[in-house]
Amino acid sequence: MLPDAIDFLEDEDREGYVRILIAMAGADGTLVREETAAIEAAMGRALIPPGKRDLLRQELKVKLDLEKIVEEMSGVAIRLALRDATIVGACDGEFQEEEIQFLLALAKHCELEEEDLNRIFQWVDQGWSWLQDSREWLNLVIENDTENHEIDEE
Amino acid sequence: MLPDTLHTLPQSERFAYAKLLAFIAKIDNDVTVDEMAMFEQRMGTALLSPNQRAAIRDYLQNPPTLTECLNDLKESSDGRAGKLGLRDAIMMSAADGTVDEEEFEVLLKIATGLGMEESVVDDLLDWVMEGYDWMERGMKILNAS
Repeated sequence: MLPDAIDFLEDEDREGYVRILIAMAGADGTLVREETAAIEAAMGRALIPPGKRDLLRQELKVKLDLEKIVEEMSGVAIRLALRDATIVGACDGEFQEEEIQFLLALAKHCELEEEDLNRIFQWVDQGWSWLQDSREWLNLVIENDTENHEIDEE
Repeated sequence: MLPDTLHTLPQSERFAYAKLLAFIAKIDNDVTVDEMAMFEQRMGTALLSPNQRAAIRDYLQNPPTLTECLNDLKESSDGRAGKLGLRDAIMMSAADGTVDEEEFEVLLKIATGLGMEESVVDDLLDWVMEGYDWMERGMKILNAS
């Protein structure tokens, strides 16, 4: 949405980044519309070509192997994927145990600790408030804004 | 990437919203990579179909007029598409780090054209700046900048 380090990633890293978000969306076995929107937004933000996006969408239907995805990725790309996978996980309002385990595994791959992950959770929560502010100014507040804002980590 | 209410709008209103962003992207006849990335991101968030995205991308080559965009947005039932369009037009205008005078004038026209106060543009510009700070905090946590 705003200028981001994703702009500096190589093409392979961008694809890996999207694959991680797809894997995160499928981690709890369900895919909600908000998660789909977040993945579509990420593919757009990473300027993935339309043909490649079609191929990546197919991966929403299969279980992806995190170990294989991160093999070829740079540390920076994995960290950005960790940050945005946390957003994807928060999309449906709460983190399932499978999603938390997924994020912890991902954090290890980029040498971040559980404490760092907690800071990312807080950061996502702050982002939720920031986005909600705009809807309040525009008088667009909907009932579930408050529900979504409270991110339940269990 | 944060979940928004955009995807809850009717399809025609999401299309009108994206059309306004295409107009904004082409104001200075030059679409930067930053603007393109944000434009593509918002189209993704709007969950537009591939055909609709192709049609919207075509507006980058043949931009619609502002009047046309505003008329489409005014057709929305409750004005949500126009409000979100204005908010994200402001965000897109600031994507390259500055909002020049021409862009600012157009943003004021969008606000008033959709029945909002001019002051909302300043409020939303402040909000965008807060978003920059938030993104920066995220990068610091990751130590990835």
